[in-house]
Amino acid sequence: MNEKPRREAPVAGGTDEELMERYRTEGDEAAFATLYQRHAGRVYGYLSSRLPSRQDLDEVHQAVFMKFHQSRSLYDPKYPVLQWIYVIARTSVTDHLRRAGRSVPVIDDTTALDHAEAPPAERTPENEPDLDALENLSERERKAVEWRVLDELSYAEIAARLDQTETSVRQIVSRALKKVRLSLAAKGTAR
Amino acid sequence: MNKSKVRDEFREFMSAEERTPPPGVTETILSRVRADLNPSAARVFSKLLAIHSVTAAVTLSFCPQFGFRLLGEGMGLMHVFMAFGTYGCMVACGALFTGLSLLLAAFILRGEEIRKIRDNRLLTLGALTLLSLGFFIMVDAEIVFSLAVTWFAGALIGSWLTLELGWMIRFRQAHQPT
Repeated sequence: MNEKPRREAPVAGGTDEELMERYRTEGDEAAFATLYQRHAGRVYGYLSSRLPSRQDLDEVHQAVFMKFHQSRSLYDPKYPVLQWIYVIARTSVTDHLRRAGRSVPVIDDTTALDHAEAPPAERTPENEPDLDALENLSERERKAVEWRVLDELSYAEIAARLDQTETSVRQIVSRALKKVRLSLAAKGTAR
Repeated sequence: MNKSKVRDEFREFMSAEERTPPPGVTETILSRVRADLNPSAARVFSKLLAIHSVTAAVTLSFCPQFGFRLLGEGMGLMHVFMAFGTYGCMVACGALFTGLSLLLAAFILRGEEIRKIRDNRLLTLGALTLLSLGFFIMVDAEIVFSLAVTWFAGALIGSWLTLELGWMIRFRQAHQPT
């Protein structure tokens, strides 16, 4: 199916956290557009496994990024941007389903979704979700990411545990998350 | 929610199959954010003018401008400013008259609106100051050209400085770690 050409958004470089800082403090539209381009696909995919209808999916996807925009002044640079996006996406889904009077279902990939442009991919060994993406990190990177994202330790606490400087830990976490994204993207293009 | 479930959910998010959102949805998001980050100059100036109207009314209650006082009688703060001489008084009065407005605006207006003013500060502050002068002419205030020029300079510089001061304070407040 041919899609209408999209207006090209300006692209800015840098890590997610650098972009978020520019977007948050300078109102850099290009920084937001780049963050959106990087993460919209994952958010849409995540939401599609939780929302039964295309209309709900589009509505919540839009709500996620509008909340992301409206709450940018609340973002704490101590946390990775991806974690921030995940939290917003998760709460948006929960809020939407509660407003609709539905319980929060566990909808897996085999549930039929009304997606004309992107029908659910047939599950094969080649395109199974790659949970190994985290295990492909070095021991230090994996620990840093898990402590930071899941245990919500500060960079200072992680630095103390790893016997590194705080700056070094920030770089480790940023690089590790980038590796995960690239690994998952490569898995996607290899299909 | 226990950490194990959080961990599982986050892994699910990280490993979610990427799907391209519909172009219409993407365009809606980008255009709404674009509009929000780029407010119109006219709208921003209108809001600034509204703020200035309120603070000007308050200021005119205790610091007459060109002999014009809104409420009460007497010289008010002019009595203090006259210690700097006639021209010093005009500079100080002008700076106070617009400076308070811009200081308040720096905390009331949204960040994007303040940026809009700062990006066009000479035009915006100049227009605000000229409109203020026009108001005093309309109410038949005692305006002498040389004093008006001095007042204008004070108003322009005062508003510029307080805008930057308010921006710095708010910028530093907004970007402290929460």
